[in-house]
Amino acid sequence: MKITQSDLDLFSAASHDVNPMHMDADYARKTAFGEPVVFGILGALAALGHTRDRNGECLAGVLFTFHSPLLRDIEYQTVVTEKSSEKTTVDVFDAGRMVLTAVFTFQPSEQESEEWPAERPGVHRSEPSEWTEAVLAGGIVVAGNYTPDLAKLRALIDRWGLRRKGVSPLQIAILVWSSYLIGMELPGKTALFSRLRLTFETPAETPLFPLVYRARTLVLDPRFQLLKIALDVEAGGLTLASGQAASLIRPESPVSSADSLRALLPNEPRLLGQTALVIGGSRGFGAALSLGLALQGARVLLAYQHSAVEAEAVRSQAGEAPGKIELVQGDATDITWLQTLCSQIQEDGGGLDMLICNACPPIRALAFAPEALGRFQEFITQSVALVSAPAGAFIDLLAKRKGWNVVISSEFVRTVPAEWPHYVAAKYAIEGMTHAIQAQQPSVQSLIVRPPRLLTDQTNTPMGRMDAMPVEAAAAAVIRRFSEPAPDGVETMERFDPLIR
Amino acid sequence: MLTIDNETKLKDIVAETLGVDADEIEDTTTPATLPSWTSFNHLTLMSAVEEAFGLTLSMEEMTGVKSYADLAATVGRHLG
Repeated sequence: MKITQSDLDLFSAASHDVNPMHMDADYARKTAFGEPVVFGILGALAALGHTRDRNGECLAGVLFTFHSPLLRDIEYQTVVTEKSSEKTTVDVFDAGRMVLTAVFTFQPSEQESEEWPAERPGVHRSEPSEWTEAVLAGGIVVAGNYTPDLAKLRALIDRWGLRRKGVSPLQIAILVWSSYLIGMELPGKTALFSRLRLTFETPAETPLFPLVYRARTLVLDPRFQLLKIALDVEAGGLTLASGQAASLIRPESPVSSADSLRALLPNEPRLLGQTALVIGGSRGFGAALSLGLALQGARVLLAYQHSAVEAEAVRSQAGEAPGKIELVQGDATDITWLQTLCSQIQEDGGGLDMLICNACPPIRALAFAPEALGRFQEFITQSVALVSAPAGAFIDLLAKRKGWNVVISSEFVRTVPAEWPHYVAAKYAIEGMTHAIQAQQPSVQSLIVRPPRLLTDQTNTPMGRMDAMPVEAAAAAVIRRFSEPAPDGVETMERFDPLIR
Repeated sequence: MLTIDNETKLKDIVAETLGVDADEIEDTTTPATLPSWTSFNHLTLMSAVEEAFGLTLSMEEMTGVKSYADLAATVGRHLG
């Protein structure tokens, strides 16, 4: 099965769920997933479309587990299993990696499953709620009336062939409501829907909309920000469904701290008069490097492509730093743009002392499998381009000052996480390219940086955050290296010890 | 070492969380042998085990569980 942007648009219109994780590409780009993710419930409904027709039955319950977000335009594989006649499980895989499990349980029913309730409007939010962790931990109840957009819901049912699957329009309305609840109400904006268990009641008659719902927080596990919620839905005084949902709460994007960097860097500025170009300097490790270099007195050209707000925030954080940050916007794989920038630096009468290639495409879990080879190769191509193009444009300018050619690799080239084979391959390619460039241009000083897992947007997930090193610590270690003796050939940096003053 | 009752209880929790039958769970069951033992389900599993046995696992214990045998041993240490 494949889900497209138009499928997201239709589901959003039907459900009134406009959570930016799904519907705002700019917002989603700055999360660990790098792009809008598919509504979990939409994935489950698409999976339902792969089950056999069921006449004279209706849904008794569901258990959905969203192991990993589904993304647009990927051809997912579905495996349908019936361990008993009333229970169907659909496992959804991305190149062998399980991303969704949807279990549907059915029971006999004499009701016409396609009967539609009359439409009466409910009330829905246009912006998702934002709760503090303290409020969620303290326990809250959210209640309201809800009616999906029935015309869009019909279109959704037709899109995925859900008529005759033993699921009534009312039950599908309840399922899309659960998406609205998690994405818009509780926990709202920072939600990442993780699990849904619902048991359906079969009322003697089809009740009228709106659905009347009540959701109550059960517990917030602070270790991995997992919120469990009790759910109840009724209409016209008839209980329709009850159960439990779980949602991860995505932490805010980590932002580099100038104070943390100051505490980790030498007191006196050691890079006065030097110029650095940081490719991918607006967020994460690149932002910490840019800020730290300015604090040490360097003139920093911070190159970014999309994140203008974040780039400006890094520049303003530099404030009264001995150095300064200048923003340059462009595509770091565009050799023409890079050569123009190189010419501008020279026309300004300056040179380049440090080229730091930090930019990397979004890292999404990927299996090394034939179905995923296209994405595997595309990731490596993009990663290599983000280093080879800047190196190609600036290496001669760098050599004039015996400058530093710095590439950001990762300790994962040694530990090799199973879900990031493309990332490991790309980093090895970049390291190899750095050795080749050094051989061709021995005047430069090459530094391959292999930090441990860093706390950035790319790793900002419950498991990814565990034991992640703050970017400031790794950035300060790199910056301190610039004021030490030059390496003999290519140096690989693998230790990021704090400064001992 | 778990008692037979606690072993049964633990396998039921693992089976329920990971969507398999309890008799499919063996000491050698790992995330590599069971596709539904994903990183998210690992968190859910740890949380369910804590709730069912009334114990609190440290982060080191959670990340140290690499197989069903590891999980059983960890729970066994807590229950004494």
